[in-house]
Amino acid sequence: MGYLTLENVHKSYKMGEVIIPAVRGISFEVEKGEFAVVVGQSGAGKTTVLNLIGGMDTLDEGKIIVDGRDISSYSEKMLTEYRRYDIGFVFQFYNLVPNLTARENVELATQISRNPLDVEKVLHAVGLGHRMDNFPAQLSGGEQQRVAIARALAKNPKLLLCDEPTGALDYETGKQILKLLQDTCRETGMTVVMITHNSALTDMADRVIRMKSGQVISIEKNSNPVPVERIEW
Amino acid sequence: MGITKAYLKELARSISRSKTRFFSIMAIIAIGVGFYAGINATEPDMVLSADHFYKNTNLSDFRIISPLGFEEEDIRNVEKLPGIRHVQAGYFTDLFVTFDENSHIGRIYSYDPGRNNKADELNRLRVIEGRLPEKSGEMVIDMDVDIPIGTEVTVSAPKDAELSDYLKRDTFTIVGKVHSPLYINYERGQTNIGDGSIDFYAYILDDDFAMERFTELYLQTDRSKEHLAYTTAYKNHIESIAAKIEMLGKETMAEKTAEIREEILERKRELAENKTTLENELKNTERELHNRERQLADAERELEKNEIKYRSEIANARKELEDGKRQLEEGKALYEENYQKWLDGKKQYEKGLAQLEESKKQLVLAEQQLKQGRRQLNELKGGLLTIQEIERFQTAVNNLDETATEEDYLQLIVAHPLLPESLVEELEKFVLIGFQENRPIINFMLTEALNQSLGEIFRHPEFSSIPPEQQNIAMLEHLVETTEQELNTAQKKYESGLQQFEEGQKELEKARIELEQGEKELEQAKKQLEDSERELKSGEKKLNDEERKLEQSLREAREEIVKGKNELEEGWEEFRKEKEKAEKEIQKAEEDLQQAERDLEEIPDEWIVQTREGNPGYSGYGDDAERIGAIAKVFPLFFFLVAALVALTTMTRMVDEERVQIGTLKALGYGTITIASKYLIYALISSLTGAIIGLVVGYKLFPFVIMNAYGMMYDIPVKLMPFHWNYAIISVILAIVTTTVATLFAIIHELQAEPATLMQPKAPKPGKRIFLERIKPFWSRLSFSQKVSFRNVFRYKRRFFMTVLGIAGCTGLLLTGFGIRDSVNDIMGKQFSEIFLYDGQIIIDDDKLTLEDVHDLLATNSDIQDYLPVQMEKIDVEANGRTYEANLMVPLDIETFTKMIDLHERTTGKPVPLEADGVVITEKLAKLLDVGLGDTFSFINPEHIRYEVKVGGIAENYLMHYIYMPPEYYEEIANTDAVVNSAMFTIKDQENLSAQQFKEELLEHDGVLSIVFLSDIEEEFNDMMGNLNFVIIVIILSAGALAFLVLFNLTNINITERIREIATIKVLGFRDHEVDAYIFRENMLLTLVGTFLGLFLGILFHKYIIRTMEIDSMMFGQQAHPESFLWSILLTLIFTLLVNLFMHRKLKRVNMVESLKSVE
Repeated sequence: MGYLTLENVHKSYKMGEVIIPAVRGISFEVEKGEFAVVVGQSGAGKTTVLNLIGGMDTLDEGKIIVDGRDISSYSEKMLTEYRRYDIGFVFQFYNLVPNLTARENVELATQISRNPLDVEKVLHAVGLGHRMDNFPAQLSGGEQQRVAIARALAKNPKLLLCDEPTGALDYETGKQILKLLQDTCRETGMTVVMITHNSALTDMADRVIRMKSGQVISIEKNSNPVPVERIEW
Repeated sequence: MGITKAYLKELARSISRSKTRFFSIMAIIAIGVGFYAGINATEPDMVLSADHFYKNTNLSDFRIISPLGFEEEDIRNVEKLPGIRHVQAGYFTDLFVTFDENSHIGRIYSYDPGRNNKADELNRLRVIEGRLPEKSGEMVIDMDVDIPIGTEVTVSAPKDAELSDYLKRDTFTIVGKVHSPLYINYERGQTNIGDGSIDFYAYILDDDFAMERFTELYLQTDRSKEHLAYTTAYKNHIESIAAKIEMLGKETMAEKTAEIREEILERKRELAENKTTLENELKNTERELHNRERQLADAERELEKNEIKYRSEIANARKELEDGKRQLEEGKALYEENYQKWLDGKKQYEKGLAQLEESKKQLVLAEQQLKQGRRQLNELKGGLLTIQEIERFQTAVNNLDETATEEDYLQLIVAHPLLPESLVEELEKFVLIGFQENRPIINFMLTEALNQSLGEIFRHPEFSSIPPEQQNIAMLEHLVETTEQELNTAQKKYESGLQQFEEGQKELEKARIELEQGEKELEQAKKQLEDSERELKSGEKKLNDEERKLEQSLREAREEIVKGKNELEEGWEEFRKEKEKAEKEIQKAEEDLQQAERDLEEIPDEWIVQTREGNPGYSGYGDDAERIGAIAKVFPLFFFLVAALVALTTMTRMVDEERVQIGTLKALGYGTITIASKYLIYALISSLTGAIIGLVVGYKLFPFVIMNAYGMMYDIPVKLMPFHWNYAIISVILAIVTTTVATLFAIIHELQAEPATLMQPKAPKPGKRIFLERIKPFWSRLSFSQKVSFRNVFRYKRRFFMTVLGIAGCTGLLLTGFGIRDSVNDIMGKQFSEIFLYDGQIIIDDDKLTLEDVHDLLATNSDIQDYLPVQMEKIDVEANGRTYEANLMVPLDIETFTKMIDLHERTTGKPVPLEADGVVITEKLAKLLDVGLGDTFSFINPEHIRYEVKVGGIAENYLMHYIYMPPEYYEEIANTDAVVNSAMFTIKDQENLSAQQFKEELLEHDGVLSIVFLSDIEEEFNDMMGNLNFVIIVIILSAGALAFLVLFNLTNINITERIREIATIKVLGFRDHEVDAYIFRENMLLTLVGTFLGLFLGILFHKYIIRTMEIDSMMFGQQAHPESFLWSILLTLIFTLLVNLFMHRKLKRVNMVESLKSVE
């Protein structure tokens, strides 16, 4: 059993009277320290999966086990605690608090963590040592996403979940961000789950989970992940 | 492109999608409009209802009272005045009405059944129960009196009046309960009988009145029905006619008082005559008395003179008597002496006599002795002879020898004397028998017998001393001789003695004669003495008698004088009494005249012309309506503005939210107007709906609630609540304009932008450092989350201002509501507990009671702790062309005054002393007069004298105006002492005081007019203000509701605006309460700032309203109480908390996944 295990996870949404199944019985595992990429088309259910793993949503059926704990049975309160201590989230649109500086955005996370990393170190690590006191509006998209990553990392989570982290970034910046994520995974041994619609990025992953229409269509383990720098798309 | 079906659909959907927003706009507009229109409608509704009632009952426009009553002529004169439609004359009098053994004061009016229900009947009674009086002895009574129909009541006049002067009978039967439009509130008015306050009114038939003249006239003007009560038009109409009536009143009164004045003059003349006559009579009596007094004095003097004279005479006589007595005593003494002498003489004489007797006895004895001696001598001689015989016989015998013959014997024997016869016989016998034979024997016998005789002779005492041996004849002879000699001597002695005796006898005889002579003389002297003594005694007795007589007559004379004096005294006494009586009578007559003159002076020189304003119920209702109106003028507007502000915020937010959609529509080619119209229509629909709801509810709710509240106080059975188009239009326009204009403003900016820009997510407002960060010591001390909150708060400036303003508005409204209540309550609270410390006041008739009487009356009352006699007057103070009625109070004792009234400055609380060189006036008056310390102003006292006084202090005061003047200052400016006509007092034990008993006890004293307890006034006032309080509670509740809505809306907007942020922090693992805190901390901060600002707003607003509401005779509390501040803050905070509680659920429901879905 992996560090992160999904077993036959189902999730559907109710939109008015219509029930839309988003995830239909998926199962996969991710080992500790792995850089996992979930890849699929828009609407394949990957964000739902990520939300479920991240404890932002509850599943209808199945099991999600993280580091041996069954979070699918968690109450909302426990899920909050789970998000608080075990999960780092990186969004496509950064979701920084616009009214807080880079440092403060990171601090917003470390304030509530049990073993936070040093805020400044993390910001240095993401290459923002010089812009710590800037507000998000003063930062470029890439810089903002770095802040978001720093915010997620500084919590020192068990899982780093990234939802299309480069989706809103230009190619170069996106690459840098991906590198940052990959490096973080390699250097700190953090388990990272990233979703993307870009298949090109599967090369850099240790494990690739392909999804379509709410189902896993393949799980590949990549024994030789490629550094981001070498990936072109 | 015009408005399409899809467009309308979209509009409908956007409404249904954002129900909260739609309804919150609607609700807030509803509250705003409802409150605005409702409160504004209340005043006209109150006025309309009252007016309707007045017109239905034909409430008179004027009530005229003439101090001297009305005659038919007067009534005709009034009727003739232009503008008068109808005059209704009647009687009224205030009497004691007793039922259930309780006495009440009732104002009895006359009722004319003949006019019942006629069109022109004024002040129609509403029958609540029973029926109207139809015949004599029937009475209808005030509906507020708890008395069953059919009860018999007794009517009585006060002590100094006769019931028969007023009514023809004294018992009445209650046949109904009525409501008179003259009495629409609880006030029944004041009177001058009993405790001074009327308990109820009642009506009886006019035939039951015994008064000659009508006492009151009710008037209706010809155009009164055209005007609405309380309006300026009505007031102007009435004023013009009032002036005419007053003029007529003055003329009539002038005529009548002239008549009375003439009468008084006549009486004065009469009195003067009477006075002279009386005084003359008195003078005569006095002169007479003086004469008698003089006579008495003369008599007394003479008596004294006589007394002295007679006394000296008596004294002389007594002295003479005493002399006589002394002489008598002397005479007596002399007599005594002579008598003594005489006695001595007599004694001597007796002694001499005794001596003579003695010597006589001795003489006799000596004679006897002489005789004895002679006899002895004779005997001796005889003896001697015998012896010699014997011897011779013996010899003879011896011689007789044998020779003797018998015869010799016999011769010898028989004839011999010496022999005893017996012997002789025997011897004879013997001799005869035989003589010679017997001779021895005879011899013997003879010798024997001779011896024996011899013996016998010697045995004789004369011889016994002779010793026997000498017994012999010689001896005898010698003896005879000596004896004879002795006898001779004795004889001689005797003879000389006898001679002496005879001489003595002769002397004695002489002495005896002398004695007898002396005795006779003494006897005579004694007699003389006795005579003179008798004479003296009788003289003394006479003298005593005379003296007694003198005393008697003196006594009598004196008694006579005393009697005379007593009579005189009585005469004086009577005179004095009569004089006093006469003086009193004159004085009384004079006083009566003076009183009559004074009464005449006091008889107002005009009629009392009361407009409806003079009816406390009417004017009170008007004032109350006006007060509501005053509140309505600004308060609801402000209220409305807050609502509009929130509506604006909400619409702005809506436009913001739909920015992308606007862009899309624009891109799709929809026209600017079309796009804008969606929001405008949205705003229009929501605000119009809200406004309509508000109008429907507000027009009914507020007037209803408020009129109901006032209904407890005013008996106006009508509640008209028509739809007021003016307020409806104003408020609807206001509501629609504010929301739509706000919406327009919100979208105009968006509409100018390019569709592309609009479709881009609105660039988040850049974060910025706030100024607080520059205050390093402060900033560094803040926790991270606090920093975040602060930054957030200041970042969204518009939200900041909107929220702060909204909350400030609510707090301000709340504070204003509470503040108005405080201000109103302060009038009572502060006036009666902080300023007026005394418990009550006694009103005194200064004609009947002097200051000493007041002292006597109050110092002894066991219930009274302290009291203070004062002069109190209602005076007029003029300033800026307006006249204000004020109370002039001159306390006689400044020290006690401080215990009765606490004069102090309102702002500083510093005491305002009453000092000799100025008056202390109350704050509101100072404000109205626009005077300060040291300024002067003038007032006019009831005698129309104008005084100018200096302001020495300005004191806090709420109810009515007061001018406090120290007595010295009063004397200085009025040139007269203050006249005590009232006294304030404090009660020792307020809790256990029987007010009723206390009042009755004091009212028993003639001259005590009435007693007023402050607590009664306070209660009355509280009742009055209690209704306003209710209105204020309505305001507070409304303000609270608004506050809640505002907060709710703003918080709601806040959350919607920041939903992403909230979702983000939720994703970050913020616990629910941390999320709450993250948002609410800002809310609280905004609330606190808003509340803080709101307090200032409230203070300003409260001040404004107070100034608008305040009436001239009152000062409202100028400041809201600290607890009102606390309540306002607390309520705002509670509302915030409630909203937060509400929002907590919303925050909890924020869906992270949904919220964080990529920006569309």
